This record gives sequence, C-alpha cells and structure tokens, in this order.
Amino acid sequence: MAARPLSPHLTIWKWGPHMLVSILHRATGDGMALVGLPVLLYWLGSLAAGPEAYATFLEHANSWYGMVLLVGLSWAFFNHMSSGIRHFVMDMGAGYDLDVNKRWSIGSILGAVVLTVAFWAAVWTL
Amino acid sequence: MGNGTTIGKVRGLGSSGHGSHHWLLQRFTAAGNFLGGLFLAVTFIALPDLSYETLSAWFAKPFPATMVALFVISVFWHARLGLQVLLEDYVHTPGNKFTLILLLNLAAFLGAAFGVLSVVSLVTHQQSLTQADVQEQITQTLQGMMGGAGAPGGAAQ
Repeated sequence: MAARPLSPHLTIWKWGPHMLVSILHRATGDGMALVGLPVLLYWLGSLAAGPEAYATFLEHANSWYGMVLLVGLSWAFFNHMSSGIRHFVMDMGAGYDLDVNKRWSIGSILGAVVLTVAFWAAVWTL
Repeated sequence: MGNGTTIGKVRGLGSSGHGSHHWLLQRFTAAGNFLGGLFLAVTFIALPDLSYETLSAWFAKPFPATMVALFVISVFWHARLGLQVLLEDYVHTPGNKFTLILLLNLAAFLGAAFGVLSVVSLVTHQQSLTQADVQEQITQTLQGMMGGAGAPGGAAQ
C-alpha cells in the first residue's frame, strides 16, 4: 500500500482528561483480557482442583506480587466499568459539550480510584 | 478503498455489514460483565472469609454457580470483541491479522469452556461430598447404636 499522509498523533495534541480516559479504557480492557482472565481461570480452576491447589493459589494471591496484581486488576475493573458507563451515556448522545465531557472524564477516573479503595477497605474490614 | 461494490467486498474492502452487530454485542456483554462483576465484588465483601471451604460451598449453590458461569461467558465474549478491535487497529498485515483473530477465537472459547467446566465441577464435587457426609453420619450412628465397639480412634483416648 502506498505511503499515505497520517493524521497528527499523540505527540502533537495538548493532553486532556478525555484523551486519558479513552486510553485508560483500552489499556484496562485489554489488560484485563490478557492478564485478568488467566487469573480468573486460575482462581476457578484451583477451586475446582481441590484444597491443595487452592492453597497454592492463596499463597500467590497473598504474596506481595499477588496483592499488587489483584489490587491493580480491581482498579482496572472499576476504571473500565466507570468509563464504560460513560460510553453508555455518550451512546445516547449526551455529554458532548466540552466542559461537560471534561468533567465526566475526570469523574470517571476519580470514581474508579474511590471504588477501588472502598472495595478493598470493605474486603479487609467487613 | 472499496465503495461497497461487489468486487470491493470480494477484495475485503469497504463495509462488511457486521459492524453494528459487533457494536451491539459489545454493549450487551458489557451489561453482563457489569452485573456479574458487581455480584462477585459484593460476594467477596459479604463472605466471612475466602477459604476453600467457604468458597467451594458458596459457588456450588445454584444461584452463585449460575452467576459465575454466565459471568465467565460474558467476559470472554466481551474480551474476544475488544481484543479483535485491538488487532484490527494495530496489525495491518492481512495474513497476520487473520491468523491472530483465528487464535483469539480459539483462546476465547477455550477459556470460557475451562471456566464454565470449573464451576460445573465445583457443583458436582459439592454434591458428592454431601452424599459422602450423609453416609458417614449414618455409619457413625449405626456404630453408636451397636455400643461403639471397635470404633476407630476410640482406644487411644
């Protein structure tokens, strides 16, 4: 295919929250698909395999790298969820005004962090 | 680029006509992931602990087992659609793109089948365990009625 002129890419735009939320949506989604789903299957598979296999799973899950992975995946879940809800709203044609779009972008990123902290606080205390 | 003519479609250019189907399924499965993910999150918070005994008993119950099995199907379907878009955006060589999407489909079905069968095996294991427990209880009761003579472990006390 002939070399065609490309539209300006990442380097030329002034960064804004709407760009970050879009990039994070793809990164968290593909990250969960490639890393989170194997973890989900390991969890279900070790439960099905019996107590010894599940004990090995818990050993990994409770180690420092397991906690980093699980907290990271839970943040990816809540971030993808909140920016996904933003997508549902925008699918209806709402939220395209610049200031509204910017506010909801920041809200979806912050909301995900709040949900992640609240989730782990609830798991560890309740 | 193809302009929607027959020869354009043969060459793989222009619209394939499946875009809105892909788009809708991405949203249907997103709703499924939302419900299933929240169910799992609430489960992790509400269960007293995440030990083998607690989790294997909980996920053998009809409603949790159904929710997790459906969640597995929904997330793998959603991931298949999402990773397909990733490949279409960044893999430009037609042969490589075709091969990777083929492998993606195989991997998605493999993962979903493994997850669902794990849930099924949890359910059947729990049922067999319950029957074994009942049989053990009956045996112990019978031994008790016969005076407990020769009961295992009795002599050591």
